[in-house]
Amino acid sequence: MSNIAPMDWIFHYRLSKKITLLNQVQNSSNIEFEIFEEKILKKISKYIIGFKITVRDSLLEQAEEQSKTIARNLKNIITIKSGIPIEADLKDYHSIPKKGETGKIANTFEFLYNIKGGIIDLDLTNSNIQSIINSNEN
Amino acid sequence: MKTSLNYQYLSQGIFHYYNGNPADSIREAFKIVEEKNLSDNSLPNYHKYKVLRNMFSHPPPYDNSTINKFLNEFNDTSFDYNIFDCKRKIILINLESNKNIRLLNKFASELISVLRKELKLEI
Repeated sequence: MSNIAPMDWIFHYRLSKKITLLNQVQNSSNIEFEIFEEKILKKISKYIIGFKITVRDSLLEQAEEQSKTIARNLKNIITIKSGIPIEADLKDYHSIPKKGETGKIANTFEFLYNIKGGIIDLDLTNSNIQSIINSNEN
Repeated sequence: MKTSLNYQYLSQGIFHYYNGNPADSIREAFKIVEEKNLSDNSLPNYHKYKVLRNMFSHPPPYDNSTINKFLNEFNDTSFDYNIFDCKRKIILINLESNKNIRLLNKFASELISVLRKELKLEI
């Protein structure tokens, strides 16, 4: 299978928080919501936990860019509609094998976040840090 | 592109509101007001939001116009202040006071609600 020829792709995004779904969602031709159902006693709660974006007839790089744009806009819509800020992170993607083909190109991501936070060192006895901690400016 | 940006602004406004930063929420959401040229005809409390946005975006001292607009909408008891000195053109709203947090949360929440409708994304 060539990596150069345009193909159909599915990109799977996961939300950073599950969003309660009170009624229902309507998928479109290229976007399918991932719904999680939780049954407690007799009550079933539904949550949106992600979505899959299909990009047709594209090279991987173009398809990924297109899916990122769609995911970013959809993330904003979900945030605005729900009132809960979320992130949508690419979890995995794969090509859709054409008729007669069995192999597919796929990738899974271990690290969901592009922005990494961390502290290399923090010395609370450092004079500058002490000055900030003890400052009381209006 | 502009349409997409407005959704980004409102999404960020909700992010700040959710995380307990109503001042940043108002500042971010007000970008849509400017982008869409909304005014006091189409946005209730337009002048209140605008003067708050100006104060949350720039450090004092402020120009006469900003001080006067603030005094048209609010007074020395509207908020708890770190500094309220109109002669020196310094008005600093205390963003940690519970009274202010409640009031600013109300403003931010109302602004988000109006802009949701404006962007046709009501709950």
